[in-house]
Amino acid sequence: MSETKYIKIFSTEIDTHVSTINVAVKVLQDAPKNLEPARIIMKSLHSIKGISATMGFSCVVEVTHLLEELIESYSRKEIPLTDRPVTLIYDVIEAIEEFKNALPEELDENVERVIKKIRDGIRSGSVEVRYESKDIDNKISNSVKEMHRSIDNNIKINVSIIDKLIDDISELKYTESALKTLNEKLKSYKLKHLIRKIEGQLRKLYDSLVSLKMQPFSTITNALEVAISKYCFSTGKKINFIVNTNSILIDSSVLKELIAPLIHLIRNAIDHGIEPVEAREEARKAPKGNVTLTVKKIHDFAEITIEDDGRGIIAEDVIKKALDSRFITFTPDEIDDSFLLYVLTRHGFTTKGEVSTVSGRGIGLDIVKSSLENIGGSITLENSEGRGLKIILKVPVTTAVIRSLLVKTGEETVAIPVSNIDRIMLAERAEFKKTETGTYLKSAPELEPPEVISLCTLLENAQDGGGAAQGTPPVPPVSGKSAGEELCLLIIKIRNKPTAIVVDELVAEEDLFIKPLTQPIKKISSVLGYSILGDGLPVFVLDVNSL
Amino acid sequence: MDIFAFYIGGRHYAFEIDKVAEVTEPRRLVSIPKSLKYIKGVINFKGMLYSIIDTYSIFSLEPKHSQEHDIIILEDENYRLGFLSERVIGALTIPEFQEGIVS
Repeated sequence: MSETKYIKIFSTEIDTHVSTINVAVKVLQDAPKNLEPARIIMKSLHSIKGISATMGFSCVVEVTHLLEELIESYSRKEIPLTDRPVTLIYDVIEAIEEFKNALPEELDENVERVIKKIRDGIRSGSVEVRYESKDIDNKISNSVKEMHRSIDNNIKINVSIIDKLIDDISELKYTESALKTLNEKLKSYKLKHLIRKIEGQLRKLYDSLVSLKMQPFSTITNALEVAISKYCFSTGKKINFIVNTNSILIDSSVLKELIAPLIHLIRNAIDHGIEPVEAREEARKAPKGNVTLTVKKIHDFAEITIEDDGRGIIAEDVIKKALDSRFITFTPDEIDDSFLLYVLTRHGFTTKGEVSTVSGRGIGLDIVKSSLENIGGSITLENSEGRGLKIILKVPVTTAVIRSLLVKTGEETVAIPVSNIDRIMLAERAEFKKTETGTYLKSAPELEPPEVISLCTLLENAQDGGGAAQGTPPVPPVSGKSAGEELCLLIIKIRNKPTAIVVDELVAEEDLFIKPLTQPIKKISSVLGYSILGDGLPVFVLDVNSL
Repeated sequence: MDIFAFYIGGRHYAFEIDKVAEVTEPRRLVSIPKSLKYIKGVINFKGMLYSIIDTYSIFSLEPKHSQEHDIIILEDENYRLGFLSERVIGALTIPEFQEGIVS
């Protein structure tokens, strides 16, 4: 570590104590009989002495010690500090500051001059300075101890404290939006200006608090590498575990939630993906399998890819097994990756007949999926049979603010993340086309015509015990509007299918602080979280891909 | 034992008293997208989200929509719940544990 760093610490410490002394002296001048300022000055001098001793600046140690002695002799005799000692205090402070500013150049010369000045000053002082040498060692070691205590500017804070502060900010944010609502009636330009200012400052405060929670992704990859190599050693599997992470920072609470899913997925790859050596050779692959973990940052999301060059998933086997064990009751014409994922993430589904020591205990991808969804993430897979499997996790870099559009259907308001909305358009009913499978928008730039669904249909409560998976719901587009009227449509991709969602009203676009759901509604998949609006009402933020 | 009794759908019900945190006046519920039938919605109560249980639905009672409902707030470290109530009766002491008490 560089010396300049210590000098910097020294300087800031000195600054703090010097300003304390300055304040104390001022108080002293207003109330000379008050003994408290003397005590404070002594304490600060003591600290300066301590830190200087550690730095090896014996001249400062000497000066401060002498001054300490002087003040002590005043206090012992209960003589208030007046003109003479106060001047000396100022002299010493000036000298110390000079000394500090001179660091690290021109050290010696300046110091000698300063010390001389102070010595002279003290000798000519009206009170005899008595020097009790036996105390000195004691005092110095004490002050060094104290300095060590105060020098450590790094403190450990529990993340929950930061979370609490962030919560407090979101409360403020609600107040701010309440003010905004109020000003819609008042229409005061001044107030509007002030609200904007608050908005900006809250944003800044929020950002710096969130940045406190950020940790490099490598915090967990190092541990992962160790765990995986241990695992490979114990199972005798030979693989290359390759980690590509740039210096991506990610919310520590998100990071924590990622550990279990990552371990699960990587072990899955090793256990079920990578074939035994003979099989690999037969398939003309390198005998040693590769498992790669790549992390990329895309906007506010981290994209984590776990890729292996193993056998991939044999879709046919999976589907057969799922049908046999009644996890699914039908199959679509074409079995694509998203259907495969759907099957694999059904609750309790496992592809393995026998149980290996680690993976395949029936704790399957469903757990991975739900723990990802808990933190607002998602999972997709790309399977190529015989050649490998790629699993892509997307998680928000921070849990937090999502810019959302508030929309209304009937009496209910919900929020939709702006990032999910491709565009907003108006359309008359004549522009819809009814077919057997549903209602579609006739002309749209999308390759597939967007399916028209009303928001209230999408939000309808699930039937008891029934999943939303069965059958397409009929589409009665929108409530209580006459045929000629224009409808407001949000064009959104739901599971890659363009969808036109009919809403009754666009309310506002807002930055919402998203809080996670708690029991008993924690498991509601169509919702990312909730937020409290300016009027105090909660609003749910929809997870478009789970609708 | 001490219980907290209320009236709904023509019948009386009660919670163990130490489960009940508070009773709030009728307030607007926000319904939950794709939620289960027995959860009527949520409220913002003191800055926290409480799921409101449709008391009619869980006890298969005839719902009375015209009426405004007080909400009995129950909470522990895992759950924040509210139950609809037509009329709050309050704390009572009953001789011994009797059947039909729902906690």
